[in-house]
Amino acid sequence: MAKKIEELTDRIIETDFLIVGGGIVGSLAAVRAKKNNPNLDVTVIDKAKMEWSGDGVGLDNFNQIPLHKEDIGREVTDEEAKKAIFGAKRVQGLASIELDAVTMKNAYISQPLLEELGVRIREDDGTLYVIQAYRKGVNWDTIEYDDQGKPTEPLFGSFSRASDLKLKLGTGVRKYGARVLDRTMITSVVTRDGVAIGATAINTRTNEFLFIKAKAILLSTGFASRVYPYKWSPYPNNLFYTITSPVNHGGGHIAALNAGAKLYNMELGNIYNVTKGINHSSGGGGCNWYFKMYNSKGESLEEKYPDRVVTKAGGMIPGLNFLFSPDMINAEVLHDVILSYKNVAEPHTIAAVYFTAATEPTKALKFHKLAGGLTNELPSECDYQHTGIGQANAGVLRENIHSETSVKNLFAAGGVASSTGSSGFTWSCLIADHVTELVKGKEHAKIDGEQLKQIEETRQWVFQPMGNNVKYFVDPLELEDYIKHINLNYVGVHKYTSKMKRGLELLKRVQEGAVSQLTANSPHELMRAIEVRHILEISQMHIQASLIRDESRLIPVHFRVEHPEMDPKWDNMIVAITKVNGETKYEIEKLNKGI
Amino acid sequence: MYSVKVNYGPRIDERLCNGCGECYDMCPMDIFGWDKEKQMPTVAHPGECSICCFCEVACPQVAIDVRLPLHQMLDFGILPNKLSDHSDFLGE
Repeated sequence: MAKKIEELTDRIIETDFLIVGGGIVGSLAAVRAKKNNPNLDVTVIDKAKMEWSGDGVGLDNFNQIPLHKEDIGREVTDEEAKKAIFGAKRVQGLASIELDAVTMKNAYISQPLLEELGVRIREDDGTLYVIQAYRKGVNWDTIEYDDQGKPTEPLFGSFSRASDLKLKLGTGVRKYGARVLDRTMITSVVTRDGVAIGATAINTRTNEFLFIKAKAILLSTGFASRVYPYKWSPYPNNLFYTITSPVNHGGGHIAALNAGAKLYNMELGNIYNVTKGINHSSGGGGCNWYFKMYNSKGESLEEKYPDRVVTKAGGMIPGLNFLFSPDMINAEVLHDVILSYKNVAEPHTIAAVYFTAATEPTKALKFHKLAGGLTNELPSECDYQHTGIGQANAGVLRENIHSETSVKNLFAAGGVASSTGSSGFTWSCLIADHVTELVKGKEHAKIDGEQLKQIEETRQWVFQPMGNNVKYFVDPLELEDYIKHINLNYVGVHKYTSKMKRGLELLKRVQEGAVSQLTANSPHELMRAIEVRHILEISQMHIQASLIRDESRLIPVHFRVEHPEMDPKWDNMIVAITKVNGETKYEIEKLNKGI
Repeated sequence: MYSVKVNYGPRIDERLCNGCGECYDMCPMDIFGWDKEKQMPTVAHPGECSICCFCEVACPQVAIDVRLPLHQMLDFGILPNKLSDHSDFLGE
């Protein structure tokens, strides 16, 4: 006889709206939902501690919030919204124009709420802090203004001086009375007839295994950040030096996939231009980019390639910039050394560095201080780092304009759905508004044998490494490092067919020979053992999808050496990944055909 | 679990630490442990430190210094033999 739910789980929680991941998207959605309806039972689970989790900690700017209508003197028009100028269009058709138009139309929706939570985005006189506008080939610090003193184009800027943004959001979540479960990691989404009805999760400090019944679920688990290693340092010094938060490993991706949702664009790598030594979020990578860069001949790259200047804003969308070189095969970064000198900084650069280092992750400030400040004559080397999946639009596919996945009542926003940058601000509010209405008067779904089976299988899978008594134990961290190096050495920026096929073989070897030997002796180690199995699955999808897309697009995000050009047959087409009866399937289909 | 010696990560000054537990509570990578006897945090998993330095900022006692990995220091132009000359941001 099948086990009862009480036997399979340590605790059962019933909630109306379950939010998985308390980053910017998750915490803003929680506040919004509680504000919409204080009686709504909202639960946020976070693998770390909510106030300090996600990519938003120390974030100094909100990219892509449009200027409010008061600032541009009018509303964004439908036509402008449809142009989707910094979402779908700039990622060469890899994102949904329809969803992006929704983002654009509603982009200021979060602004009043952020201000209410005490996030400072204005000068004392009420004008917005605008530090950058998205422009082509222009450095972020040289915005052009029109006669009225407004940025000329586009209508969107970034607001700043909000380095305590995440603390304020977290405080808001607790103040408005949402239930917060820190150190709690999703392990599966439980479904009934294709509808999400709850999730299982594990406490990473106690191994408490939870079942959370929910009427709607938002996945906001961030990017899959741990697919590539920090390539300039030896193990174990390279483990978690990622560009986006290393807490996020892609658990939301896998939970969605296993529940029946589609993943897409998993071939797209997350590539970022970094200054060697610092990374982790844009602050770490970005702050040295305000200094001019020179090649070994002493040429300023900024002047050599005026169309390819890395803007602060453009750092994460490197389609234009492979460390400036227009030639992928012969890229300057590959055959030359690119250095930047702090001691030749110009006044506006110094101001920028002061500002960024002080407000973006604290690490940046510490590095600059220890380096002896801006008078340090030692240059830093600039290079690129490949970290995870989800550059511009990858992850869980959103199937309708409510950001719902193909699993009903399962929503996704932020890095896990790679909603083109920070439009997670917008989607957190839109989804919270939709869910508030959706769950009204709705009952929790029944749990029958099929759901118990799902929970039991998950439980077995989750705890398998715990106290695993095997002759040759496999350390989760050592395995993670090995998998990351397969991705670095067999995939990376220059994708060769033969190399990728070999990489897949090696990952298969890991799957067949090493996974069952993973061993954990504490809840903390079990967390790493869960993560590494997800990372393995994501890596396999990364290579498979890279092989299927036989063209190059958004270079260097997806560059197939044998197919160096964009192929029109791939316009608006995606590699969609599903899992049917435990088998992963890859299909080429039109992007957002359902919308 | 692995036995490679890790030299980087948070260093807790036990003379300053008052056992408030803020670092143990907030570390995103959950690398701190808790010494129940001493009622003090420990650095249980230094190899998993991502050098975010949040603990250093959050510690109300200013008891934590995050030791940077050698390769990151050298790559950024920080020379270990110059570390005693802490200058301010503009080097004045």
